[in-house]
Amino acid sequence: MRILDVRTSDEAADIQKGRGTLLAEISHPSKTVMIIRGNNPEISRFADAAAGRAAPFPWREVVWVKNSKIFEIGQETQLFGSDASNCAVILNLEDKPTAFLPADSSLLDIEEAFLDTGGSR
Amino acid sequence: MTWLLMRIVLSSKLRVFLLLIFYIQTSLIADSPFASKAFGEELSDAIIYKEWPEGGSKEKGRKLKAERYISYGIDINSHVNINVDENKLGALFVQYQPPEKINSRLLLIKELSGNIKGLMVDLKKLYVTWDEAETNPTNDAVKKRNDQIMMFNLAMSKVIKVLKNTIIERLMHQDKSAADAKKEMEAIVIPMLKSDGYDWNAIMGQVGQEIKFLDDELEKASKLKKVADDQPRIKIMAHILRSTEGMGEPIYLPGHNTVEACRPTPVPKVTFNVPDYQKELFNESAINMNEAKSLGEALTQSLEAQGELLKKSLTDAATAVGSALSEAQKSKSTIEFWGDENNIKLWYANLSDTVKKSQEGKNLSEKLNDLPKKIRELDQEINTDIELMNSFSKQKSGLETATPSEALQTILATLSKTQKLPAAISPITWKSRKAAIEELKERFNISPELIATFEKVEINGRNPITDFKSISTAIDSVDLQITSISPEVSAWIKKTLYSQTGLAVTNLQPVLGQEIHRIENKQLDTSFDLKTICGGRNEFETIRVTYQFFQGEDELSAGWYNDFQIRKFGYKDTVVASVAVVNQQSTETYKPTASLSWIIDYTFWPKDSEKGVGSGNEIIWLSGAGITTMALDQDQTQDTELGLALTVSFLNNKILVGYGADLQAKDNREFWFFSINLFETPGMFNGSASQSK
Repeated sequence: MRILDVRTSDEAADIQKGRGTLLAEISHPSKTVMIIRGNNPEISRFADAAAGRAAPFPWREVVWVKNSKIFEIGQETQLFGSDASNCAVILNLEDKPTAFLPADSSLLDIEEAFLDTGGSR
Repeated sequence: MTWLLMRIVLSSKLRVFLLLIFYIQTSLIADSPFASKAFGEELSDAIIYKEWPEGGSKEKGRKLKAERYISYGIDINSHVNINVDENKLGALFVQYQPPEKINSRLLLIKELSGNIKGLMVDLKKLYVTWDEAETNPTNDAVKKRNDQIMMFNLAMSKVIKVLKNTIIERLMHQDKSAADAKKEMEAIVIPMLKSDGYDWNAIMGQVGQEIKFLDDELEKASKLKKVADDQPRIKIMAHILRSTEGMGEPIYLPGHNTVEACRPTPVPKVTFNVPDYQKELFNESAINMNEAKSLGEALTQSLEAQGELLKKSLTDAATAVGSALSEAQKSKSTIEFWGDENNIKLWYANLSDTVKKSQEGKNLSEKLNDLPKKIRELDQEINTDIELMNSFSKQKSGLETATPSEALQTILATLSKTQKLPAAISPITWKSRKAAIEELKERFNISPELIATFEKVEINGRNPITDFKSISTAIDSVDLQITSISPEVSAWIKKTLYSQTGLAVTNLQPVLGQEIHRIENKQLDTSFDLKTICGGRNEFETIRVTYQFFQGEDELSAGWYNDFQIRKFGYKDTVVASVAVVNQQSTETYKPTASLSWIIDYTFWPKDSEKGVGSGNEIIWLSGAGITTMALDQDQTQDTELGLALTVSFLNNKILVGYGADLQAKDNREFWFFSINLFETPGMFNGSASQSK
């Protein structure tokens, strides 16, 4: 799992670095990427579970964006839509959102979301 | 007023009596047996009750949605329609699945089973392809990799979905709710998602199990299909429950049974009739008032008068039970004789060979097979009742010489050991015994010609048919004695033992002509009418409507019952005899006198959303209003003075307050009074507070 955060001491650099990482993961031609946003205990548990389902399969990746400043302007809405309860989005190989998950999703929900991405490059 | 009440309370004799009454009321009156309990899921409007009270304010009828095991209160003169929506009812429990549907599910999961090993191989190949494309990321390599990823995702997604849905369907067919089934499924499937991928052994193991479950289900369904595509069937019964110890008596449900319905008999609620018991109480109180020198003494004497009446009634009951006991004992030795298999065999052996070889003889032999066993069962029941009646009737001599409070304590001690006493002294119990004896006697009635022959055959000078006739006669005598027990005493004994209806009764008499209908039958609607119940009905008795479901030979677990507690809603009258304290105009003194009050009270009709069930013990602050009459002694020139007062009652008619006039006095006619109705014997003054009719 890639964890992207911003330190107050080096905000600009962290933001730039984070954006670069996010773009690189999304751009990978063969990876299904789950992007998680926010930072609280429930999201942390979700992120661990998601990382657990991604780890055995190199074609799955989880990117946890703890600080929304990392997103480009309008990108967060473009990815997650208008529903604030969506804490994760899965992008298929075409980089299109195929599933949204709330933080209380079960391990089975996460697994099914990864499997149902479809699409190909 | 406070000073006066304190004087009453501090009178020592009165205090003892009040303590006794307090003991009776609080230690014996437990939680209301009529509190309605709600549990179980809703029936989704599959069954709707509609109460049509006679003379009530609800012209449109009162709608009640059936819920499992819920109790409702209905008026004593109502009839209730039972409307059944066959489609909704059929959808409520696990439907019979045709074999074809099960087979298609089975084929799906068997196909899955065959694919799993291939999937394991594909996954291994995918890891290799991934690494190759990472090392040499040509367009073809990446495309090949992506295609394999997609194929694997699709196949694995199907495995998980089919397995998931199969497990959920199985659990729901095992009567789990959708939410519980999902939870249980997750508990099975989630552990298959391991940290290194998938637990293939667990997946294959679970698939194998689901295949086995489906195979078994297919076999069952194939058998059921042979029973002419058997749809679920329903049996609707209705009984009136008069006590927990007796058997529920069937009542007529059109289209579902052929139980007799009697001529409609409404129960009047306002009769202006003074029960004999209240008349006696009034007279006793009036006599005692002449001798009382203080209010405390007057109240004590009034309480003692009521106690004496109760003691007398219980003594009379003990006498009746004693007479019934001797009749029951007479039949014992006769019953015991025919409970011996050898005796019935010997008797049969004494029949002529011609009879024994005939078809009638063979039929008789079959019918007599279990007769001794049935006799012994009956004998055991009667033995138990004889013991119970004996323990009660033995109290008679002690009661005659005891004070009222001693008599009460003796009876309460006896009753605390014999919870089954109400059944032993119930006419219903003895009527069912008689029915059992008649049934056994009827077994000999093979043909009119042969019965005369059978009656001549004896062993040890005894004949079974003659003996059963005499047992039946003895039981009739028992019934007669039992029936002579005052209804107030029977009710008092039952209520003292918390023998209220609607709780623990499981013994329901078989129903004449009971039908079992297919649920798809469009003629399931029915009704019951309280006014046509043979044997009458009383407030706080219960109608139980029972639903049972069957599929093939098996009874399904979907059945339930609803109880309908009989109440008196609207206006009803009550007569209260009590000791009144009168303050006549221009005097400063309070004089005690016996009074008789006729009070009208009103119980609100329940609305559609209300169950209408009452405990009989609710506290009603403003109970009603009416008229009180009492003997006064203001004018010395008059021999008799009658006071008549408008009255308001409080706290379940325990406190009455009124204002009226001395009809015979020339001056200072007006007076006001209050009275306290202290003695509350459940059953003697039946209903919530005082004697209702």
